[in-house]
Amino acid sequence: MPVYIINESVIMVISTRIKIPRDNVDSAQLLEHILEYFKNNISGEVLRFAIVGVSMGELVIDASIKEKDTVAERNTGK
Amino acid sequence: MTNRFIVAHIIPTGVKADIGGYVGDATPATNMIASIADKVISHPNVVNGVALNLANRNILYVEGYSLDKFFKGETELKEVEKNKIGIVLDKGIEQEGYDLAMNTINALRTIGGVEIVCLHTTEKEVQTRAVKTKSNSFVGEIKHEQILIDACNEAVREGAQALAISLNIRIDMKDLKAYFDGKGANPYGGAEAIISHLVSAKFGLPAAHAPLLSKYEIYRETHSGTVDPRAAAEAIGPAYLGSVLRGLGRAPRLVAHGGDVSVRDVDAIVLPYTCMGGVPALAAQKWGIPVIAVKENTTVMKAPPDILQMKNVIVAENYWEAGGILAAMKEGIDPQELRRPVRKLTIT
Repeated sequence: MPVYIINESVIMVISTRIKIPRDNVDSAQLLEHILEYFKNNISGEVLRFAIVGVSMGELVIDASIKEKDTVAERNTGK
Repeated sequence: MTNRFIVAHIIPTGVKADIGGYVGDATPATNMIASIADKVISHPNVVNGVALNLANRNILYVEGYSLDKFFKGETELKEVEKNKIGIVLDKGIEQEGYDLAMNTINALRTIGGVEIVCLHTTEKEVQTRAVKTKSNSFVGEIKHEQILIDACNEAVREGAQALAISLNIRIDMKDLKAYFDGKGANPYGGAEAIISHLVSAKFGLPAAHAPLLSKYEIYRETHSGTVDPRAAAEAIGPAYLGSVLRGLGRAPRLVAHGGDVSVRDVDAIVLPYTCMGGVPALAAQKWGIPVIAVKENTTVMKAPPDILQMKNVIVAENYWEAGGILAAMKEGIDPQELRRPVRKLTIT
């Protein structure tokens, strides 16, 4: 018997790197830059994130994302 | 109101903070700050001590997602005398776990006077697990988020003004042992943060999470020998809901306008030195809020103020110094004037 899961989503963890846009960018500008990056590059909703370090001109960021569960969607209707 | 001295004290969850990385072990530091400040904004990770929540009454208990919104300027805090609390428990553990939860809830009712408006279990197990990141911090993954949301919806319909969530979080027992030995981050912490973030984001209500333990986990926690002192509250009895219900009972509500405290009222933020990479620290500069970075409170994070070009940071070696800096700020004294040599001014 197939399992039908409707509107199910999952919370998952991603680790990503974001290039620091330019020299001498302050922390408030960094926050705007990160939020803009998430808006343009992450399809899900970002619940929590933190810069965990900086490496070679990039911010290393861990984020928890609420995403549609594509597996669940594939199962739906089968 | 502008004549109050308001400080935020933030210690991110699941990052192995030396102070605050266990269960409520940042409460003395927070209460020290609360003895200087008129109000302290803090979050569950800082003051939740399993069954104990010994935070002073002038500490505002605000969950992390709401805290981020607050520092983005998207919400304000409205203080209350009391919240009616709805509780949601995970489905699928043995009776011993529910017995412990129920006894904890009843203890908080009969001793603490906490008002519980309803108690629900989810339709099926939510399936939450702790995930260890490359930086050795813990975060969490939730498989059946909608099952949790449905149960919370029911609680809100029944009049809940705050939501206490208690899910079983799957962890690696090796991580629990490392934590009890003082060698690893709290494996529950990151997942707990995600659960409460999710619920806060959905309902806009105060929310917090307490782990719901299986029979085996209860046994493990209470038969771990003499553990790291900072984890002792867990080893004497994992009645996690106690501190959560105590905190939520008076947690401020979140309002778009007309709150008692807005981000513009905050006079300082106290954070571990290596944890400048979250929203509160990054947003502080925009609002002109000084950040006091406490060096002695080490974590596994590698985001100190200098690499993020932060211009509004005062470094404190420890909480003793942080207390002195805050006392000076409250009195209107530039903390730099308490140091020598005196900074020379030049005419430009």
